[in-house]
Amino acid sequence: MPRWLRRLLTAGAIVVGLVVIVRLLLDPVATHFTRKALREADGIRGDFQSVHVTVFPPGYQIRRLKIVEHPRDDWKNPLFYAERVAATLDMSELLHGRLAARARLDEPKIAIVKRKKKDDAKAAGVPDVRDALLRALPAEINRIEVRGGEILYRDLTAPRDPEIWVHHLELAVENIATRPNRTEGRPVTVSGSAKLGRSGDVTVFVSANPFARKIEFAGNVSVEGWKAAELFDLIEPATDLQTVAGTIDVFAEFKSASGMITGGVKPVLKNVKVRPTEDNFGNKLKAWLADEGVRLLSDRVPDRNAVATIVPIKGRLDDPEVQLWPTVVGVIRNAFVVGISSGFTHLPPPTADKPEGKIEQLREGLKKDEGPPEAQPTEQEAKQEPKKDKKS
Amino acid sequence: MTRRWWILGVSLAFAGACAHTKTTDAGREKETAKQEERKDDKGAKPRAARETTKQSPELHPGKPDAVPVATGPEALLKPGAEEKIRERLVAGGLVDDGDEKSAAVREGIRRFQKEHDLPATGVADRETVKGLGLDPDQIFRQATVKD
Repeated sequence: MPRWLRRLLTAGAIVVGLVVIVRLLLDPVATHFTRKALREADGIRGDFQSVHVTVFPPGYQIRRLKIVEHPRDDWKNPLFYAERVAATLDMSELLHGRLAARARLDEPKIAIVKRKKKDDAKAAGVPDVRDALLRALPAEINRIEVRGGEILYRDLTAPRDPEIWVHHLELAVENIATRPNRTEGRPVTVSGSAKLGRSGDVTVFVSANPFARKIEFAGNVSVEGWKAAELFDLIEPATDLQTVAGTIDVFAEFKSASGMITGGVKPVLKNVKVRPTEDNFGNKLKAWLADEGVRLLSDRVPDRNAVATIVPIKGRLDDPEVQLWPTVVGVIRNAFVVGISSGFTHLPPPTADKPEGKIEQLREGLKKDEGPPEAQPTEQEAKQEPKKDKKS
Repeated sequence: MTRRWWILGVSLAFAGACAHTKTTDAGREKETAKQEERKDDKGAKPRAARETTKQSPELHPGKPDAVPVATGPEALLKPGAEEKIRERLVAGGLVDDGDEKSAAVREGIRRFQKEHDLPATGVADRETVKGLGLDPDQIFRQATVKD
């Protein structure tokens, strides 16, 4: 064998050996740094089954990640659990010389627990799970995907510890950027769908420009077909009543710019029936009054028999105002003029050009040929209107 | 005096109970839109609407240099983009050719996302659009970025 060939083979063997050694070392090194990041995080502790680093495409994944509140360290009820958390470098961004990654969370479970004040004092503040994950993965994340997620909210301060359970959560967050020039003029978008309890279908869409002088965002949320019977743990302890039949739909649409928010929420209660939980005279009377109230305010539209309204929300982002009078007029309109349909129609409600008195709102809001009651302008909007007129 | 108020209240309740609406604005709106279309065809002026500030789904409608932010995903699409997405879904057998309903398109997108291991949100995001073989830059609106 010629000497040059021998040298070439030796060099090749060394390179292959080095590659194999580096590959074998990658997982233990990544495991070490992940454990370190979780150990040093404020207010939380974490554990996982394994860490794996992929080379093609460059990526990193953790299996069975479990995060608990520290020093509570309740490993049976973790704050966060995910079957798999994976981050992959975005090759198209890498070609532009930028280190950006996509994250994917498979079957993550988040538990949010509202505790009594005594217990809160023991807790070490709000744990920063995001910070720990970012320390384990230094690349910028530009897309997040969630598959089969669950969120559980449990209120330990209320009787029966009522829960709100959101599951089958599918979520995509896009165009996340840390600097304005990275956005390329695109908004951050969040789109998702989920199941609320055993029956409610949830959809979410939010778009935002986080780099506006004051954050700008807009979006909508809907819950459809949520069975009223699922509210038992929330309603029964306070009222001794139960909603044995009926469904609840809720539609909300909102926009926020320059520190102000406008929006509306449309609750639609269909075929709701109220019954007492215990058969005594007081409960029976309460249930009868509630049931008759629902019956009186329902629209008697075949198959839905719904109580509905549109609740306008306006004002400063940090102190939004829920407008009560248009809400009341909306309930009357639905019952006696025209039923308010399910869906995003008339959301957010239009705003009247100038502030109207209660009688005027009632008169206009109950006209058959007009839409549902309008939101009333805020003081700031009312002051701006005359200026617009002058200009025009 | 109190008795009169009670009688008035009960009478109003009975009157109200007899005068329930029995119809929703969904049907009425379709009818009104059709009527207005007919009027427009004839060149007649549309019915005078009550003076209100109309709500646009966008935060900055008509401003090409503003980052588009809107209440719904449809408002972030370029003109004709919705049709392009629908065509791809029809070609893939995920939406029936004649079905123009947005709920059907949403369900078609959801099915496509499930098949391609993407989050099944029912909203066409950039990854979904790429998966459908379309160029996201031709589908989604974005602000004109100044150099």
